[in-house]
Amino acid sequence: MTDLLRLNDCTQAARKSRQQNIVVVEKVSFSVKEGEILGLLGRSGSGKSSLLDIMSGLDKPVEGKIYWGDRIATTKDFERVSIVLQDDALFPWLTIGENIRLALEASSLDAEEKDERVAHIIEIMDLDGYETAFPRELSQTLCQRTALARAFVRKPDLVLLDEPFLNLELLGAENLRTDLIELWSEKRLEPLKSMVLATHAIEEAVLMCDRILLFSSSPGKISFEIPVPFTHPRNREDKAFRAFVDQVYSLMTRRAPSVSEADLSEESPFPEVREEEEETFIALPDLSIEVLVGLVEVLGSEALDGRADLPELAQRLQMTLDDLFPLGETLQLLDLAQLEDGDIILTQTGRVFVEGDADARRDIMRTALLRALPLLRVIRNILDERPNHTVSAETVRHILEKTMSQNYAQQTLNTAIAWARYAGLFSYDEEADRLMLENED
Amino acid sequence: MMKVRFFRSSLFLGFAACMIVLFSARYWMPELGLAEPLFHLPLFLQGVFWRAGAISLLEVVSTLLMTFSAVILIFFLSAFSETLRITLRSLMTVMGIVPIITLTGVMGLIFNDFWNVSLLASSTLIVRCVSPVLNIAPHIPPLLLKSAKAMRLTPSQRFWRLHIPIAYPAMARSIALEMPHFWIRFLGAEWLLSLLDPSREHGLGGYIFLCFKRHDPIGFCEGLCAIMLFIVAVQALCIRPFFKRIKRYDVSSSPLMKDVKAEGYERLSGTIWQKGGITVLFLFLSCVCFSFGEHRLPIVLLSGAKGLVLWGGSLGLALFFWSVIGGMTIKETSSFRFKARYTAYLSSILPVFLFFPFLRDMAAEVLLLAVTIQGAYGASVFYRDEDQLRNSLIEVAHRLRLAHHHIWQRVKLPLLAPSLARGTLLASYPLWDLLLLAGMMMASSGGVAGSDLGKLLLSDLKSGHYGDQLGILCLVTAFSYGLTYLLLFPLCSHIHRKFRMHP
Repeated sequence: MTDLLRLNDCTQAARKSRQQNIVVVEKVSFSVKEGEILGLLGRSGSGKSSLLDIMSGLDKPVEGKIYWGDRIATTKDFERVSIVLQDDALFPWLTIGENIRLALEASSLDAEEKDERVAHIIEIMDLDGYETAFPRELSQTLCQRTALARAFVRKPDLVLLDEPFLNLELLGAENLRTDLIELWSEKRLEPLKSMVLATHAIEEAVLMCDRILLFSSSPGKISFEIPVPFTHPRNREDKAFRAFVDQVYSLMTRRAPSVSEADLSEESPFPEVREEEEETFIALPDLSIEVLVGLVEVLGSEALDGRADLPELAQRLQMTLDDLFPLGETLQLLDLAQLEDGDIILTQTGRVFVEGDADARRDIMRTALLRALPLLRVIRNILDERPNHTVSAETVRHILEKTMSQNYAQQTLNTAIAWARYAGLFSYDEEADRLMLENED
Repeated sequence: MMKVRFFRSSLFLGFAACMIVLFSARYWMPELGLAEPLFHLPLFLQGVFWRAGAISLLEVVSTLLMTFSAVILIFFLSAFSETLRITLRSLMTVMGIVPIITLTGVMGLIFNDFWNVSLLASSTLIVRCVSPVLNIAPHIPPLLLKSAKAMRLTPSQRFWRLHIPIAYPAMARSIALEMPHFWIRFLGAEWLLSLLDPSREHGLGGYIFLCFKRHDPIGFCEGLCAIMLFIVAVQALCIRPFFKRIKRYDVSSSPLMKDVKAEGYERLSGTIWQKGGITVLFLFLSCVCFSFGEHRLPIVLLSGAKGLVLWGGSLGLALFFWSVIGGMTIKETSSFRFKARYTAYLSSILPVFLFFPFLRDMAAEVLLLAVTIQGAYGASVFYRDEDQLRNSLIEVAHRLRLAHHHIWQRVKLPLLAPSLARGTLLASYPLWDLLLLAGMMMASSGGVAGSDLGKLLLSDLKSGHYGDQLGILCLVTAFSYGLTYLLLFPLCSHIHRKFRMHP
């Protein structure tokens, strides 16, 4: 198969200040071959969206080159690339038909040709009857279907899909996925040659893609390249399929960066490395402490007795596996549980937590947070050292923004405050935007 | 709903038809040989009235056409140039608060009275149309922008397909809120030109002035009715159609907006150095202009200080009134709030300022100023529909058996604070034009105005002292700009941050 698009040693960075950039992806090289669906699989923050922006020409890498075929890609080449975003991003004041037609606005086609193309794509994407509806009148699935139609109406050679099914409800997403695979397999989207799907859902990647690139985070790099040995249509319930998904899970959980950070202890033989790590804060997910505690309690219940298979647990809790995964990782970070071969297992600390009363749990959580999260250690140290035991939250945000984007910094601080409040580490005055020690009588 | 609309439209058309029949009676009654006594009533004899009406009608039409053309031209040019947009944005913040009425004399050097009135009236209307579009960039959902770029739309196409539709609701509201100010400038300019040259006809504003001078109450009422007809016609034919399409373009409740940071008041006002610099610049320019004029600076500054007192007094009075009304009606239903909002808005476009010549002292002047600007407060206080969260907070306060005054102080007023702050900002925009007009109108009728700025301006207009006119323009602009951007905006921003209930 010939290369359609190739990235060569591409590095992308987000500008923090004049002197500082945060590297999002580093020296990434891969190619998109004609006739394949390529998957970019990784967690949030692994640079998938940044890579898609580079591949669509919406952004330029700070280093590296992009090739279309065997020559450097030009603006004209990027016009043969369409991108579908996570949210449908339809223009709310335009009808479905008008939204699709808008994609042809920049083209040199005459009105008749545009109408013809729009009518054709509406038909093949099953949007008949919805042409005059506004996006607010439709379900999210239909809106995303329209977004796909809008991408395909331009007759691109390459379509980039940035987690297009993430915000859809389960059945709708499944339906849309199936339709898309069907259209691809039957070659009804000509002259479309390739698709690239960015996702953090392992099953979705295995279901749709011919080849998967597994990305690590901070900065994003390719960890593994996994060819998918199944032909379309694929069956989720197939034993080989499930075994393959488990394998990919193992690969993903094996290289979780939070594990290596939590493992750094006072006995580390590399104190200079530990010093660097203490200054590098990880982005915390937007997770409620109550949900984490709830998960620990569920794991510690008699029915599970401290151990559960992740997919089964997800089903039991009516969550998606991809929602459960970050919870498991966080519990692993706090040493309340560990992830092993697709299972989640309560640690001894976790068991004590389950059996303890409110005060005991608070103490355990406090110890766990201070041990696992350098950010909370640093904040607590600052508060202890200051005579008035307060510090401006803006100061902490500035520290965080040295190593992560503004949005992640804010999210991390919000999460840290919420967790610290639970554990009684410190509190936060929103009006004054200051962190302060609670009265510890 | 259709029946209500049909009823309203029929009512308006019926009223308009009756007025036309009534005011044209002097032409058709003799043809039909109808009763003579009726024919001799002043109502049917006023050729001046009809000519004034025709002049005003033409001026309104030309103003609106001029506004439309200017806006389209500005949009066309802005579509191609980001630099121009940034430049215009800064220019609009100043133009929006300049007391244009002070330029009547200077513009009279270049334009005839007809175009003078049209340009004066259209100036801020153009600003209000264009500003929301020029300021919309930070409010565009990043996903939509990315989507537009992904579809390879050119910057010009993005401006027409994205900036303008998203800005449309803000533009429509801005135009509606500007209409009271529009009529103040329109009728005020006609009135002023008539005062300066009573021998010529200057539209309905001038007709009102002549009737006042002749102590003709019937003519005064006649003119007022005709003005109301104009106002209602413009509202119905030009402004209401804007609102019909707001819902289609309103993305404020769309999930797309979750990534847009609500910047509130801070971004619009710029840095404190910029604001202070512009204020000082205008103060300096006013000193330069006065140095070429006849007035002594201390007298002008004293007049300005009196004007500040009037400014604060009228805003404070209107604020107090609407704090009470807002607190009393805070739990009312959406239906009530909608009607109240509509009524408050209608009260703001009534040309109440035309009664300034009847006033004799400062107290009455403050009261009438407050009455003129209060509509902006009302529109803000009733801006939000019935709010369950707000109602439940008040309910909790009652259940906690808090004292009445505590509920007002601790619950109701904080809940109302953001609306009242917004109302203060909106009410302050036309206030300096009103102060100057009030001063001129009271001075011409022998009353004692609170501020002498209007009186000074009137004497400068009569005597043709252009340096002093420009000096007053710069001085009042400095006051207006400084008060708006150094005081009101930071205050509103603080109140909004502290007391807002909704993002």
